[in-house]
Amino acid sequence: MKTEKEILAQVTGYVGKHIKLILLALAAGAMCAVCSVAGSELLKRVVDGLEAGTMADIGYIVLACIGILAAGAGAAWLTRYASGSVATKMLREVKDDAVAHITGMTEEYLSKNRSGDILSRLSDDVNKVSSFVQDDLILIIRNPFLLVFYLVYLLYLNPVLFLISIVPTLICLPFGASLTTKFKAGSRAYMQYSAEVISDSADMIGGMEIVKGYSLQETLFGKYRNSVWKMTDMAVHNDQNQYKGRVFFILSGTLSSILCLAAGGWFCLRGKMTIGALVAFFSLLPQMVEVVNDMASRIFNSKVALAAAERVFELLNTPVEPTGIQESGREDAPAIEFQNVSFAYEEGVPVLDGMSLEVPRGKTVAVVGASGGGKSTLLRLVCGFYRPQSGKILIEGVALEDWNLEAVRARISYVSQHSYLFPVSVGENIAMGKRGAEEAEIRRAAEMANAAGFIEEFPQKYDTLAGERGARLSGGQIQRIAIARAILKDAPILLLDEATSALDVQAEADVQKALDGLAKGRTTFVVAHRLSTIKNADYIVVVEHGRAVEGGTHEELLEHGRVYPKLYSGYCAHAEKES
Amino acid sequence: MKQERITVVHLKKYFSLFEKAGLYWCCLLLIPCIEVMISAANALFYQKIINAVTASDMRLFYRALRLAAVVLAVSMARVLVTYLYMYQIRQIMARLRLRVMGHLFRLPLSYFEGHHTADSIQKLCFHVEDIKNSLANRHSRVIQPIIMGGAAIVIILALDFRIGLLVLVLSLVSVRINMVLSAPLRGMAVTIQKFFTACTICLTDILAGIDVVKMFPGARGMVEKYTDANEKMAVSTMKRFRRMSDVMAVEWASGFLCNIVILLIGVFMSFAGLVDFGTVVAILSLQGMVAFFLSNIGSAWGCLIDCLVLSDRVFEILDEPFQPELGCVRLKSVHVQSEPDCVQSEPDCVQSEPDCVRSESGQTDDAEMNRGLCDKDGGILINNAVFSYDGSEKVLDGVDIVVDEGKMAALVGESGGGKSTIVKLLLGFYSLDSGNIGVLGKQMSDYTPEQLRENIAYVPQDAYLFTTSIKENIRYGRLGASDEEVVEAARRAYAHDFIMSFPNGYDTMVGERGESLSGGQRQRIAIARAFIRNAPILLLDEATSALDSESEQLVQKGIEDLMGGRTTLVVAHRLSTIEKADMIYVIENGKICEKGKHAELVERGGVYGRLAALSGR
Repeated sequence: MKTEKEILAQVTGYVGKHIKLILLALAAGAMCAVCSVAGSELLKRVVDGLEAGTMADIGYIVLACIGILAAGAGAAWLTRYASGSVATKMLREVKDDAVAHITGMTEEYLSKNRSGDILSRLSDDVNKVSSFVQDDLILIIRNPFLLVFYLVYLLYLNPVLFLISIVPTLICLPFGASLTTKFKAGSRAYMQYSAEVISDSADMIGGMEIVKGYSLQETLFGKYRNSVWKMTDMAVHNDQNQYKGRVFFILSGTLSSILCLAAGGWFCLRGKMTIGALVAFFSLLPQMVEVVNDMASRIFNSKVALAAAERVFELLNTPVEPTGIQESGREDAPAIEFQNVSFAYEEGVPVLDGMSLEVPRGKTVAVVGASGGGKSTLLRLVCGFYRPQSGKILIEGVALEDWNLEAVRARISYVSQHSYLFPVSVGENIAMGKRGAEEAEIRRAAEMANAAGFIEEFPQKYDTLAGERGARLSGGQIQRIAIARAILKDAPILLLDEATSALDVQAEADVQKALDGLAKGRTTFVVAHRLSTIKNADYIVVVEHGRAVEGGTHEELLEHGRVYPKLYSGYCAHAEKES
Repeated sequence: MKQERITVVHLKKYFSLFEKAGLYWCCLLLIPCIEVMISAANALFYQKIINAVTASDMRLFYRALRLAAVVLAVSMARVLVTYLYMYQIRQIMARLRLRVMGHLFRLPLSYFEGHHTADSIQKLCFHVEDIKNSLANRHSRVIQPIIMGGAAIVIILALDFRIGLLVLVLSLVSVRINMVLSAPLRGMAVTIQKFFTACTICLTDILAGIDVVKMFPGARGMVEKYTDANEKMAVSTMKRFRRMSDVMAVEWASGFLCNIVILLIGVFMSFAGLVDFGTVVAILSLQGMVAFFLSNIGSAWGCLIDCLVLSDRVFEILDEPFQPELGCVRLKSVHVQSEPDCVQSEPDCVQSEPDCVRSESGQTDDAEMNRGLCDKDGGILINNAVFSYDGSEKVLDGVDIVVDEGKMAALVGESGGGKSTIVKLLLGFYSLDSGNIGVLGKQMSDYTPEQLRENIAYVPQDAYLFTTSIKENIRYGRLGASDEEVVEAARRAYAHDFIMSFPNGYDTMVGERGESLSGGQRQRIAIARAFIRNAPILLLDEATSALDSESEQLVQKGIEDLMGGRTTLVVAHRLSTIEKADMIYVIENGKICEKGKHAELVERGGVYGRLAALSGR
């Protein structure tokens, strides 16, 4: 985790881009304060003049009034507008950057951090920051100026009064401020925990079928209840800190104003101060007290915003997938090559352990082996989602880490075990395979994937919405749409992960046909479970305990293999009688 | 709810959102009163001091200091009351969160299949959070101006009628200008919120399909959608800021004018002996409250409407009726909605759904008729079942299935043909449009969902695992099962060995959507969960798909053990499973088109024969 300093540096980076606007906002804020003070000074002169009987020129007063009015209103406008512009622009940049960053984030981070967490950082937390920037920041910028000018003016009116007014503040503020640190930590913990609760509830809602099927409502509700009350306790505890802090802030504001008034009155009674000065002082005092009191809540708000900003920037600081510069591979090299690759998702649980294999160009290579043997991982490594701990993966003769990630991914079509469809139309989902795909291309891809038939049957055809995780589409339909997407991408390397599973017999046959067409003329690397896929493969690699233990054609392996015949008899257990 | 009149019904409903909130409402009213006290004490304090100074009266001066003590004491009291207020809000919010979640748990599965998960989460987490803003800010924005402003006007007029009137007029003018200027702000805020929501939805999608976004260039369009919404949000935010800047400039100018004009007039009046100067200062200190009142009274109405509109989004869940889930004939939802007990009961009693189902059934004649049939049967009996998700397109159209006690039946057919729907109906997730389902010799409508599901072990298509330990995930099959029983179930599902190969064994945490486990491993955990359930009926939905040949054999063995003596209904894709079935039902377009044993059906050479040939490879 980054330290506060580093995050601050990052914030400065965003701030730096808009430094002119920020300076403008500051200058305008200062101008506002000057105008307020000038108004009070004007008042003082009028009162003193009246009392002394030397009434100043009315025209001069009116002119001064108008001048202050115009300058003040203008400055107020500028303060708001400039600070608003900065806030809006910065937030937009941060959010855009964050989303761009997310798409480049490593799978390690994505799988360790639940999506609820990322979501709450980018919506809830960004919202907190944005409401702070929109409503509080301007006052935080302006108020210190006001305070400084008021105090300077006080100093000019009467130095003792100035001292009296700041002593309670100096005594009380540190106590209050010390509590804000606690408060910030508390806010952060609260946000963190509520993000967890969000993830938990997402989990429960997502698994509602099981929740209901196994009557888990009460248990899970009990869990949720505990979380909610824990959350509430955290919030209450944090409120206590906040309100304890507020006591000090309010004490300092109220005490200052009371003491000032009392002292001012006393000075006047003793003739050490003019009534004009006292009146001027009075006209400023409520504003000043307001500023101080206001600062109290603003400071607490700013702490919430800071904690939220920290969480947002932490997200921006997460590692991104490393990328090289190679834009193309070598013509003569094999499409995919694993050289002694070892990989583990978690330390101590190796998934691949010295894996070596080669997928020649234009050939179909099938991987078979027991589940949990790391076969899916092979494909995910080729996609560059993870980096092996040792060994090398070569794509078209170039080491994966030297490839420009985008360039290498452009050469790969990947159909995963659980195909994801976005909740946009079926047509749009297919179109994702190729930028700017035309309607005819989409249709052709759908036809090739044997998907056109069922899509045409929907009342809205290609405009049919695919629900979340394709709720209203069957597994086979989702898969075929995913295959259409892969067909449209038209990449030279095709990665298939158990793509034909979870299909019924009819659909499987349909998909199989589609895949056979797709594989033609391409390099295909497939994690296979179906006898038909395996038999059609040019080469079969048998994986056991994260290692390629044997390889060859179906016939070779049957004859000489050690593991394969056993596996094959498993496949045949249900396939034999069929044929 | 635009420009809608707020009726008592609306308000009553709104107040029903907050339970045990008496103390909260007291605090809400008390805070502005305290605020008034502070301001009044302050104003009088100013007045006394100035008057003491102008009169050079030391005694008056000391008396004024007493008021200072009042100001200080009441200021401290305010902090305490606000804390109490905040405490109440936290408690109310906790209760509300639980109520919404409790309600979600009682909604039928159809609700979740028809709504984006993100939508429910948005409501549960973010929209409920909006209610907190109502409690903490909006309510006081309605109440405060009325109490504080009213009191300030009375005090000002009492202090000096002439200046008081002047203050009132000046404030009215400035507020009027302000209101005209800030009128469009509310609409702008709504637009911004709209774009913000669009951003959140985009982001949810991107996160869910991140692999696709990485691998397919066209899926970058989702990112562009986000940045697009973000840009639009920024543009409308800037528009709003422009308008706010105007408001701010006018506010500053009018504030300055009021202040200076009143003071100057007051100064001249006091030198003319028309008023004492202390009163002028006192009035001036209260002027802010009058302006506050006038500028907020207009938005108070809008605030109230906001509260109601925001609460509507939460009520979208709370008003969702607990439709009957059980297999009896579907009831008109009006019946259920009119069951107030059912809707308003405590969130804790998750079990209240069946009552409204049974009491309203009115299907007794039919039920009696079929009860005889069911009594003979310890298994599953589906009689002429007709069902549609949306009321028009029939998914099942007169399906008859009989599974005798201890036997196994397999459902085969094209995807989308209605096989999974039959399983969901048996679990009581949906109710039939017409027809009957009998389970273990009883009509389905005679069960509560819990009783029914107690008798069923269900292994779904997608082995959903929760983000908790493996042990806990298995134990969810039967809460209260001992650790030994969990291990035993895992052993029988052939999951024990791989679980023990993890460093943390049974305490290994399952990642989000069970991603750290392979498909086969997840499947076996789901089977262990079914084992520990130890129920007389087993429902399998394509449970053996996505498995490796080796683990498939393990799972197959596990499932065969699991089937032993249980009545089993399988949505089958594997011929090995289908062949062992005592009866095969071939489903096409919501109808049973063929039934019989494997050999018979192959011989007949119908739909099944074609399917078998296709997969014969």
